[in-house]
Amino acid sequence: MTDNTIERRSFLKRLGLSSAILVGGLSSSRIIAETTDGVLVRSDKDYGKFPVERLKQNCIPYDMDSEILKQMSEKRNVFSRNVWDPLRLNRPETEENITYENLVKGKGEIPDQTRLDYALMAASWKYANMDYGGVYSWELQDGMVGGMGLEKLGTWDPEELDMTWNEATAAVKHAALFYGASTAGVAELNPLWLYSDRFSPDRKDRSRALPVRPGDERFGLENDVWYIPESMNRVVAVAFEEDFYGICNSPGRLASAATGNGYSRMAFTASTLADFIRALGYRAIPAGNGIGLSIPMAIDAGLGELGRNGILINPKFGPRIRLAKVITDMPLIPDSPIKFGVTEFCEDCMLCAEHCPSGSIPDGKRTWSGTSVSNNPGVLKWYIHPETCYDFNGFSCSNCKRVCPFNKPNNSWLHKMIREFIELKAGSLNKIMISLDQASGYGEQLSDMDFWKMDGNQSITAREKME
Amino acid sequence: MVEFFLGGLITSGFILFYSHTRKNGMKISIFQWMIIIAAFVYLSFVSATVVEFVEEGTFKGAAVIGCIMGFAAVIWGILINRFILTKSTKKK
Ligand code: SF4
Ligand code: SF4
Repeated sequence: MTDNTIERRSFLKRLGLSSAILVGGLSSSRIIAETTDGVLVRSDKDYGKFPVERLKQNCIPYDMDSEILKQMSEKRNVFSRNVWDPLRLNRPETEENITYENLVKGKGEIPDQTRLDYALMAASWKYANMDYGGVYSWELQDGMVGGMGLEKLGTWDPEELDMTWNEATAAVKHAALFYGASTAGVAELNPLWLYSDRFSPDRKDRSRALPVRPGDERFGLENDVWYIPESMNRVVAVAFEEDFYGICNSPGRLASAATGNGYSRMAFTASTLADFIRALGYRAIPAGNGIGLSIPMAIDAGLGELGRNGILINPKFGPRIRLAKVITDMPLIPDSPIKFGVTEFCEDCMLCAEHCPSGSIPDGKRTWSGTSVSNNPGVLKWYIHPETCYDFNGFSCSNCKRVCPFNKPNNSWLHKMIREFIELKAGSLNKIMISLDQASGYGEQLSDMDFWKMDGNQSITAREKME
Repeated sequence: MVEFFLGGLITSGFILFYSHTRKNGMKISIFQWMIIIAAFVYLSFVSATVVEFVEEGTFKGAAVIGCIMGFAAVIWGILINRFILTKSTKKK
């Protein structure tokens, strides 16, 4: 431990330092201090200028019980169970479907839901289900990469361009942002986060799940088994910011539009990034929600921490993100996982649990297992109840994102100052900050018409505002 | 832009205040000046906070924070008047 290890006692020192940095203006990534488990850094580009603890490579920001934690079966997640599990087949229709039918079939006017809202929502989901059409294919599909024969040129070596692997990794992340990601990180792939099977991969036989196994050099489908070679040991995790004002409409069509937009961008970006990697001669498996658990992969890749709401909380965008990933054998340099006080803050904050209309978010302490078969036990966390969430939700509910104090329309100096306090993990201040957040009107539902009356520049979250 | 305007307003306020103390021959110690300057800095901070909320469109936040922090600014002002300005005027 070094002299300037961060402890609560250094509160005033840190506060003085933080204020000096705030006043002095913030620029690029810089190390502020050393901590027991890593370094405290501030990076405009990666973390929206917020202070973040970058952990040492061998430190993971969650507790696992390796006796209990096993690979999860994709067949067990709630989306899969909706199509095969007798307990789920007769579930009540979601509110979203009911209201949609009402509008389309003219059964009646839905208060506060206009055709404008439905149009925005319906179009935003356009590319979300492209996995049926092979967007998330493990192999190169038609396109210029194959047309130009780029994937057959052998594996690209960064030394050709006098680049290091660090620079090559930065280039891959650059490509991810170029194709539409809001942020990207790299992790060494933990096989525990891969699903043990692929559920109904062709979407035809909806009761079928094929096992996924590590393959020596076998890749793809062979004799009803999917093989992922052990050499494919890197994952590029990508996150997509969702529109602030759309999410603020939750529960409503515009929140569904923000979600659908995220899903569509996941499909586009993951698949183009995979083709980029293939064009460099490496293998790539793009995935949205499939193949494995996106959240722990993203945590390992340094994109954020897990919140009480079961969602990844990113330093820059808060919980207002969607995730996708590309698994590859390109030897990219992994990022470090990060911590910035989310777990400690969530222990004091119940806002998502209080505002969840289906009571799916626990309001107690973290546990090692959940109550649903769709939960994967073995990690100390808050286990949400996916069935009740889905049944309320469809995709129109994002209350747990809307009310979260980490969800803000921009990263102004005001919010940065509050984050300084959160990072200090000074528990007693948390309750005051939560009360002030509520009193200030953050997390209130935005009406549809208020959304539409905003001019375009304001209603589409301007990325530069999050810098 | 608004920030520049506010900064200008508060700086002018301070200059006016300073010339008022000179004109009336008030005797204010260094320590008292530090308290007065801190009050002006705090006032700038409160104004900047309120402006930030307004620019963000969080009017309720502007009102709540403006009231809480503004109240503290008023108390600070009253105390400065009662214990610094009034006393230093009497000395004259
Ligand atoms: S999406 Fe809605 S229903 Fe689901 S956990 Fe979040 S708040 Fe609850
Ligand atoms: S609303 Fe509060 S408890 Fe829930 S995830 Fe956000 S910070 Fe954590």
